[in-house]
Amino acid sequence: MNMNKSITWTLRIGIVLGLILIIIGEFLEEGNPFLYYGLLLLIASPMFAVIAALIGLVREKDWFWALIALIVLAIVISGAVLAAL
Amino acid sequence: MELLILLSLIALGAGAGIMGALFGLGGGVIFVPVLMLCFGMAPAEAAAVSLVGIVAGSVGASSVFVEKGLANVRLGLLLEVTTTVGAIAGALIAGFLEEWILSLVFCAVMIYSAIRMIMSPEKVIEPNGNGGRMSFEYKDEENGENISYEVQNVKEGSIACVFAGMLSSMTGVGGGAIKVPVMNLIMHVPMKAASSTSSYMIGITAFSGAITYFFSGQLDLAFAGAVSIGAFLGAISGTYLARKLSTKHLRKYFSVVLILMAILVLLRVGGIL
Repeated sequence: MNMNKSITWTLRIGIVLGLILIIIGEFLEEGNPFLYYGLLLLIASPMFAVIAALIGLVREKDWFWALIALIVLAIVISGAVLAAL
Repeated sequence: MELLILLSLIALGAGAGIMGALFGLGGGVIFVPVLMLCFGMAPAEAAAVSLVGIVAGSVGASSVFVEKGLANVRLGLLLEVTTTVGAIAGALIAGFLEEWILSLVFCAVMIYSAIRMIMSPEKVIEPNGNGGRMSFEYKDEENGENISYEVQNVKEGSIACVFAGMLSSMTGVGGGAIKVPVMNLIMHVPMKAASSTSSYMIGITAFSGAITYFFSGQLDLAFAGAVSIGAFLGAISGTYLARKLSTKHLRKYFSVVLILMAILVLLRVGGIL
């Protein structure tokens, strides 16, 4: 699978699964875990897509762009870790 | 949640999703005031919901644009690095500068870009055939043509994105409004690729803010969920429109939206919004 395809599928799986959980969550009473995990999955999708891009670029041995993807990933993950602490 | 509120939030999300997919703009400028004025949210709550909506719209739009090759993932990641550097620098120096001055600078840049986009025709440089690092192509579905382009002025464009990141972190207005003109006017990236690339990038940018609000417990989950459903639906319709629209029209509409955004920001500075 080429890089664009793997990014596309990562994004699709993230948003479709996330939205299914969100829709279920919207119709249940407040405080249910569906909304929480649905939103978490959806919010994290762009980060997973950067990981997919990095893997794709490494497999294509496109080192310059793989380095750029790695820097973006480092920035994004450090932001998320700081937020979670 | 009441059905009427749920449907209004979905509609709001859909509007922002269409804008995000068509023009590569996050729509926070519209999202935040509407959430505050119509739904009585506090500024931080509104910003949190807005960021999640932007992520949902961006993911929806990118799931189409990346597959079609319209969103340039490599260029997007490169500019993401420089924009983030700018955003961090902006956050550090924001306290030393008056917000209204920054907002006025932002407006001036938006209006200048809009005028240039209306006045000057698009200039795309064809690759010289060496298969360089900055040569890309996509298929324009409006006329079925393959469009090849070589990204120009990478250094200047990257520096401009540092400023875009600084301005957006200091004013709270998303960077799409500057990044799209930077890509199109300075780096000579075709308008459709520029706006699609920006759609892809705003998801990564908004992720950091959204996840911070999510873990801090400041995010209203039900509101964010409803807006996300709408943003996704809007983004998918927006990608359809964007693919069929001619570049000339897309550029013209984008310029009009930029001017409207500048007016909104001016109203905010003036304390009217």
